Amino acid sequence: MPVNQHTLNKRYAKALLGLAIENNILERSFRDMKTVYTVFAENKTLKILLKSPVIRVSKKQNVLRHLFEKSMHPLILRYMMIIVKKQRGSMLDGISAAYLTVYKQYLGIETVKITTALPLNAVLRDRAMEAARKITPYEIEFEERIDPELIGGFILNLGDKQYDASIKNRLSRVKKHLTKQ
Amino acid sequence: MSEIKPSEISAILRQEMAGFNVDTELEETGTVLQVGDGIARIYGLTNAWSGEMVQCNDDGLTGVILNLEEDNVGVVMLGDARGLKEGDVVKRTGHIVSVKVGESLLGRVVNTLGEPIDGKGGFESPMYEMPLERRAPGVIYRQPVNQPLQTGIKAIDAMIPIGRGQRELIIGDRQTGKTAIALDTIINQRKNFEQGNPLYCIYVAIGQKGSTVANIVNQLERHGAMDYTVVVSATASDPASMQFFAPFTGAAIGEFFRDTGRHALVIYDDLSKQAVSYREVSLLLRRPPGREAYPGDIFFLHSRLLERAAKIISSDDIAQKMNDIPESIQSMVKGGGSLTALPIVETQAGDVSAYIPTNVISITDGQIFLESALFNAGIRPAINVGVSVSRVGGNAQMKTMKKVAGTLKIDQAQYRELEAFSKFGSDLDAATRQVLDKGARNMEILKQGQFNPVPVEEQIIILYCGTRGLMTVIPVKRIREFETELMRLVRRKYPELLAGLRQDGFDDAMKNVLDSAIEQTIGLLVGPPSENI
Repeated sequence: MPVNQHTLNKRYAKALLGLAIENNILERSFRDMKTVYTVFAENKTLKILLKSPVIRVSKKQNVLRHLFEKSMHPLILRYMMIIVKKQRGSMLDGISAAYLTVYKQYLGIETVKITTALPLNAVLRDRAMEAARKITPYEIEFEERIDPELIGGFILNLGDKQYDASIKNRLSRVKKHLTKQ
Repeated sequence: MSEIKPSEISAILRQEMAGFNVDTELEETGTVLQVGDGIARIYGLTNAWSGEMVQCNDDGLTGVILNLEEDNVGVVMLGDARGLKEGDVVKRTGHIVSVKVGESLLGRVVNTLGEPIDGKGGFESPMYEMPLERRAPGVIYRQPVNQPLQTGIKAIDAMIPIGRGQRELIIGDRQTGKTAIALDTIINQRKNFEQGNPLYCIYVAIGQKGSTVANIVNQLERHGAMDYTVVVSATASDPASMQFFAPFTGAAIGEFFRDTGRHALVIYDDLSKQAVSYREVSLLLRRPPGREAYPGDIFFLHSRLLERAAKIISSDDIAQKMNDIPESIQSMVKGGGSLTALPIVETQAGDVSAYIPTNVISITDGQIFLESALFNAGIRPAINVGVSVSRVGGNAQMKTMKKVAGTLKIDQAQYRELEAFSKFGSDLDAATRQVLDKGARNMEILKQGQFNPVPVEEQIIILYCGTRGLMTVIPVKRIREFETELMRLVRRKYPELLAGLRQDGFDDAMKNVLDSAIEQTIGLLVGPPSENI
């Protein structure tokens, strides 16, 4: 399961979302959690440190405080302190990922992944956007990926729906069609 | 090959590609979270149904959704799942698991998915899609069992008669002749096939050795039985999912014949192995184990399978309104068809009170109980008459047979009770002696070799001799000889008697003919009657 879908991660994320709405810091919280997410994604050692049972909780809290004190809203920092105190610091990466999802859900934004063989140009991007809008009533955030194996065409992913218009897929269907008998 | 021009190749390709659909459709997908032991956990597939087929990769590996959980779905793979890895995309197909069924399946060996595995190529005639899981016909579409299904085995047709639409369990230890009974029953349907009113047979081999299945197919072919038989094979090396779905494939094939107004017989060999496969899959799906670690729905697994055996009402109008008819055969539905099921269950050391045997006994309309002690004593088929019953077959039995063999079961039970005494000595009164004499001779009559089905009219003749005590002058050792001689005589001299019996008639004139034939045979074997008194 993707980390942002673990039940526990989602629970923590939802708690923070509620808190952020109450304190009117929605946007700030999103930015902060995104920072947390990138920091964790780039520094594997940080997760190992938080996971280690040998290191005392106060030490872990100090590390996080030094890292984030300046840039983060105090509420988010306190939130992280609690998570570390509960020995769940190593889940911070998952929680931050889940937060980004929960946040987008709350605002009605859907992520559309588009995979192409070559980088998209502006015209194509607009057309893809337009096509994606037809499928979903929500706001759309675009995520682009490049996979030369597709040969040509594109794959559009929206949640668990997929529109596969790649050359690779068509070729495999042709193969299946011809070898059926 | 060098003759082919490139232009021709393109022409052929163009022709082949004519029906190819280039449109892309919106697909629903999921990603593999975990895969192992033929089970995959998929994230996504939000709208998927339980029992739906999913496509796992481009090579045609399919799976069936069995578990729908809060945040993932549990899928069993129907095939080799080794190519599948975490993160792979799985697509919905929108179809419930089903097989393609049609007349051209006859004579073929197929796997659980209905694909040929006998190397004889694809199927020609139109094929109809039949779902593996389908609800059984409701009460108003059924009829009581009223037509006999002749097994060609004297002991069964006389004492434990089976009717079309019945579910009769064949139960016994290993090596007691369970499969032999099933095969003889299939072989005995040859005559029906030749007369143009075939009883189609489906033999489902579950968890057996590949060599055993090959042997069975070979035997059926040798006796000309493959013309009206389909073999569904899920051998021991097939994935557990293929093994536990195999009986459902058999039932789906049988239902095709049943719902189109024809008669079919399906043999599940055997359901204890199927239960084991289902247990394996269930435990891997983390369903809670129950008694003997079988899942809680093991009873339902067997009951819903066997409930599909039915005699359908003869009215076409009502039959056409039957519940859950697959769309593909909607226009072909006819009444009056039947599906008979002969499930086989293997016991351990004769223990019928184990979990699966008791379950299946309670589901079926009777059981044929085979014992290794009898088998080793040379009584074959090794049927224990005392505990074998047929709860509904009596109504379907031919009247003449009922009249002739009516007392046989009680006679034999009495004989076996007294048999123990007879071992102590000869100080027995005349009545007891008579029961013993008759019983020993009947026992001899009921012995029958494998692949030797006896037509019902001949069964009636020899059972007539047995139950009326007409063979007292023949020594027990010569009973078989007597039987052969009598049959030879009747076949040669009185074919009209056989024809009459086949039509279920037995009047005084026929009785006299038969009596005289018996007298002649006795005379032939032990001399004229006067000398024996």
